[in-house]
Amino acid sequence: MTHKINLTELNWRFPLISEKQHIADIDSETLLAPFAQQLLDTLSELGRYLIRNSEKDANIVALGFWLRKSNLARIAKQYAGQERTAKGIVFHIAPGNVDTLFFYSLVVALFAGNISILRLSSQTSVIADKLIYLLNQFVGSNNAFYFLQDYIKIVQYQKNDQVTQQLSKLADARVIWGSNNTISSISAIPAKADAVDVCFPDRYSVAVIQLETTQQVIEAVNGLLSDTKAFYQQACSSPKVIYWLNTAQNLQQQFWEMLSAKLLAISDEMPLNESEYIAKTLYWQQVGILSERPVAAEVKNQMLTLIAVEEISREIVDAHCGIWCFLDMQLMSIAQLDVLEHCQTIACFGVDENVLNSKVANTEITAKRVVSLGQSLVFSHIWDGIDLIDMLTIREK
Amino acid sequence: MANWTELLELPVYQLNKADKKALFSTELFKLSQHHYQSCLAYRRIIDAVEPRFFFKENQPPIALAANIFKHHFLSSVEQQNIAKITTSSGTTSAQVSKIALDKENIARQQRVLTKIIKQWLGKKRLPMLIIDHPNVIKDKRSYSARGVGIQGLSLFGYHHTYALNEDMSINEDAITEFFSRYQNEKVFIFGFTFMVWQYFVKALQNLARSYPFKQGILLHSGGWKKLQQQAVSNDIFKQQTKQVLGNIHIHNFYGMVEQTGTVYVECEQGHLHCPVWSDIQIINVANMQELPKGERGVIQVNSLLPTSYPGHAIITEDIGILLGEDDCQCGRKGKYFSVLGRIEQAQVRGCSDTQN
Ligand SMILES: [Zn+2]
Repeated sequence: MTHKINLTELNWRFPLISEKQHIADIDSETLLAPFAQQLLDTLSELGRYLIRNSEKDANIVALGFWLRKSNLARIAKQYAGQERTAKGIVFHIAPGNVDTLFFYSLVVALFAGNISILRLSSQTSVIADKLIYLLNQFVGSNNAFYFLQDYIKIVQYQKNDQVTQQLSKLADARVIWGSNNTISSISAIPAKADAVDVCFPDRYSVAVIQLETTQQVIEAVNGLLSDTKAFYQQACSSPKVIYWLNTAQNLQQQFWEMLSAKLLAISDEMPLNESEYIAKTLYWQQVGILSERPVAAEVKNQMLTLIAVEEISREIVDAHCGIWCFLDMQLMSIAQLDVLEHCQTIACFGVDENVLNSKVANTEITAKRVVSLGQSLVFSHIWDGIDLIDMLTIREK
Repeated sequence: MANWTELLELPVYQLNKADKKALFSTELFKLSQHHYQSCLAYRRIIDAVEPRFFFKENQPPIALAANIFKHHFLSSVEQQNIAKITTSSGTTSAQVSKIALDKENIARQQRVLTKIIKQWLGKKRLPMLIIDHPNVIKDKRSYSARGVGIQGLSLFGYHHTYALNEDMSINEDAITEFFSRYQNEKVFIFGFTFMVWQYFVKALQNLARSYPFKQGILLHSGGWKKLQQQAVSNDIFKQQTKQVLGNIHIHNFYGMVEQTGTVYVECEQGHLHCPVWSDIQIINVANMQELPKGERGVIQVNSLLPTSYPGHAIITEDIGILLGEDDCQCGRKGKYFSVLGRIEQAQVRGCSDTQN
């Protein structure tokens, strides 16, 4: 079945072919086999291309690294022996300011053999623009990659339910990123009868750190830095709350001093603007108001603000502005650890991950995953507890 | 608390640096004490960052981020004593600032505004032309910043004539009638900067109409952002406005809903002047330190007026530059400065949701 709709007036960012015919060309009969060799080869080539042209942007390097052949093969292996076919047309709806997540969901959908339509909002981040630019360049660099034009369609438009509705009609699956409001408003727009919606609502993340020696301090600092640097602590997976597990005050102090110095050292390459400095001030003032329990806010320097709290609420988390404001809480034991319902990642250092994993498995706490500190931003095809490959394929019985 | 009978007697623009400093350090500290004791939210903010704040006499106040009034309702008076809640216009963002005022604060704001405006208009009420449409003040329940501004300044005029129709088209009949009656008298014209430019000056230019008043004063306020986008400077604004309104005096003024009353009016030299009851500081928001004269930074406004809400020290979202103190060529004492525009918006990144 071929869908013909007149959406050619929209701002199609990929592919950039002049006829503007691509949306009319979508044909779910041209689906590829999940994990096909052609996909494995092309995606790993794309990964190498991204690394080569990353201009040292750590997020693009990470994306390129994720696309290495061995990682893709490892993922494919997890579904080996299962008869799977691609779901069909996947409509990804991402806010323009998402980090590189949208690109991961795009490549995962492709790796599973699907055709993707990606919608970006009118306001895109610098990195989203760069990734789209690189994708165009990559496909143009070799005839062997031209086929990607049939499998990836990227469109940018200002919030418009009419357009979303028309694109949804094509979709066998929708991948929706955004706030609960966004998700429910998009879910209300009908897709195909048997379509699935894969939703990624707003989440926040935390870290649990236990330090016993000075030697551990530097390792933990580097871990937290790599978990927060990429998106100025604004990614959902970046820890916002630091839980200190039985860690001596002087080690905590050393930790913050070192992080503070390291952040200051990168302040030239990652400058903040006046709005952001004011946002940080606003945030500690808000936490002061929002917490029923005592709060101690300390502006360490222009980059780092510490806010020691005795409780965390949804309001305190929702008001968080990123940009290296850490809520700081003391724990006497792991048993005391409690997180809010929408917690995504618990990053840990010096703590037995198995203990945390079993707490998550036994639903004592509601986080979606436990990782080592420093690994919070590493993407997995199982995201927020949802197996994207499984959702975007059909398993034959 | 401050003795307002005495404070109101102070000349608007004559206090020198040393006297003003002395006045402000004691009065602002008293206000910090007052709000700490009267507003739980304010107390929590101070306790969070500086629990020993009140161990040092005359500590400069901890300035609140202006947006805090958009997220939280901060009041230093009992609920039943709140007489009015003013809100910022909030045309672009969904959230508006909410400012709690009791009768005393409302009266004080009006008295201070009167003192300041009379410095520029003179003692007598003047025939008044308002560059807006009359409906902007009709809905009294939802006082917009525009409505509040017009209401507040209407007291200085009579024969209030609205120059625009509700669809923002120009009401030529009304203006012509006003002009034929008052063209030789001193008139008071008021409007928001962008409205004056877009719907009045430009519109009259397009119609090739002009109303050359013999004498008069145009006071205008509001952001320059939209004018900057059209590359309209204050000089161009003045020059072209004079082409349609004659050789009148034109004064911009700066103010905000969070500190209504203490407006900063532009003098003949083009400098905004602090009245005696309020003051500004230019802040480097990276470290919250005050910047010296001549350096660009974020404007912090300090005012002696607010007792019903903790708004005596506020970090605005405006960029400004301190030009000097006590030595403006116009002869007025106190700090004088200019506003350079709004702060740059925060970067777009992370997974926060902006589905636009
Ligand atoms: Zn002057």
